[in-house]
Amino acid sequence: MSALDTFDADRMRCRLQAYLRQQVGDDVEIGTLKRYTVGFSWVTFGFAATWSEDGRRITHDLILRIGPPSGIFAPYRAAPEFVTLRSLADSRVPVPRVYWYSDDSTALGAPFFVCAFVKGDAPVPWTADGGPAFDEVARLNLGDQFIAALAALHTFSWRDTPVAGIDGATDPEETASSQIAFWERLMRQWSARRYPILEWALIWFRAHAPRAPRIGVVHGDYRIGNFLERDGRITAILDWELVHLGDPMEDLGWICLQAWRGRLPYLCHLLTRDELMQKYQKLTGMPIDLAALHYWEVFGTFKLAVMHLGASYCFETRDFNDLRMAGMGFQLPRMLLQLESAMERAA
Amino acid sequence: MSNSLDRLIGGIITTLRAHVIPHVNDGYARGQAIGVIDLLNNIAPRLEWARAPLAEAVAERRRAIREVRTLLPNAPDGEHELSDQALLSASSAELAAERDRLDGEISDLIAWTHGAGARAAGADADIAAAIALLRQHVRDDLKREMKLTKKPLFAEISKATGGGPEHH
Repeated sequence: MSALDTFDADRMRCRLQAYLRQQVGDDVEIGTLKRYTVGFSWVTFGFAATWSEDGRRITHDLILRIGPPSGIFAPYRAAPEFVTLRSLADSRVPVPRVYWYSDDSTALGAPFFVCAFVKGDAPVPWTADGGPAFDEVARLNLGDQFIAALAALHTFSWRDTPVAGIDGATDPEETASSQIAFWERLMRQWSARRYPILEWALIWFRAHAPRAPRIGVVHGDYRIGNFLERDGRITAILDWELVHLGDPMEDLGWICLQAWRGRLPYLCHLLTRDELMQKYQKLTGMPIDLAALHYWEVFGTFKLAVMHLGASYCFETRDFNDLRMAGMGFQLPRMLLQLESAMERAA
Repeated sequence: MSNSLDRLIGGIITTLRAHVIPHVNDGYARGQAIGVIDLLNNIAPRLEWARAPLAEAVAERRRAIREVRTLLPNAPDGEHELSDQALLSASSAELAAERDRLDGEISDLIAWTHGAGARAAGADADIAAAIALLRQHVRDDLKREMKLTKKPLFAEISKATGGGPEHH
């Protein structure tokens, strides 16, 4: 099979149909693939597949997610996301039903997984006038669900599930150092230039690393933009590519980033900091250590800055021609200034 | 980190050719889009990054390093830097390389001032002053960069690419 061309939807459809016939049976028919352009990493297609169940032809609306070799986090693995979503299927975390996955590039040219299409809008943190994304009623309603889903994830009993095999740290003393090492490696891979504030942040992270209060499943990118909403209900939490075992406070710190709220007081356009803490503590029974929350907020800001380096690197070297990636490169000073400010506030 | 000018212009042309022009149905708009490619092809060999901001970036880094070394004479040396004469005639690419080298030197000084080496070699007050000076330099430099950084059009891009309705 040839290399992946994610813009060649017709060829992709043929390869996908061949794969699905192996999984379901020769009578599978699939419709045209619709490419969604919302993501920066995995490539997402929507399609309808019809096959027989109990003698009846049933049509399923499905999503194909492919990790392209030129993508920011390539080489990709579908297994961690697939295993996590499957394990969470009966939990209180709203997730799409998953069907198949492969980390072998033979079938489609890259790792991929197939899951159910879930209806809903994906609100984004950027509004035309910099104002709130939601009115007050919607903010409170969605904010409650946003935190409830996170609390359900962080209290999920993962130890006796396949999630126990995904990457991450299970020693409470190692959760921070594990993430520091992970993102420092990517930073050095993506940029030969050494940015003083990033180097400074690494020193600070090592000096102030908190002990995890417990080990949980960390989404890794839990924020506005990564959930679907329909008729006032969060229908799915998406984009689990950075899922790992670690300190749940990491997700809370990520929610606090200035990048997801601009100049608004509402974290991810949904919650004040007090609301976040009160609701999370009430739902999980786990107290939030303010210093740890600040630490992970600073770390998240560092991580986002490193992602900007990655976007720029991918555009420059991997023939990933999405101009949004180059645009992110130009925003690096904004990210670095936010990092400097976050470090100053946490000091 | 902005991308290289060659890659940026090449990427813009590729996007226009592969993903924009095939979907432009109005004849005049299509001609204008091809005209953009024609212009970019001709502008590309005549472009380099603006020299003045790079020269200022180099000068500010050298000043910060000089002041730190005055406070902490035992701080480890950096690599040999370009002479003042060489800087005057340096191209934008050479200035960018010198800026990056100086960022490495500043990063080394930040690490050194936070380590045991500085405590063994200098007075606490001088180390604290050097750290404050480095921090102020980093902050001022980022603020200078922000003056060149336009607000991103992410909201508009999201709206155009369907960041809202009915998708997974």
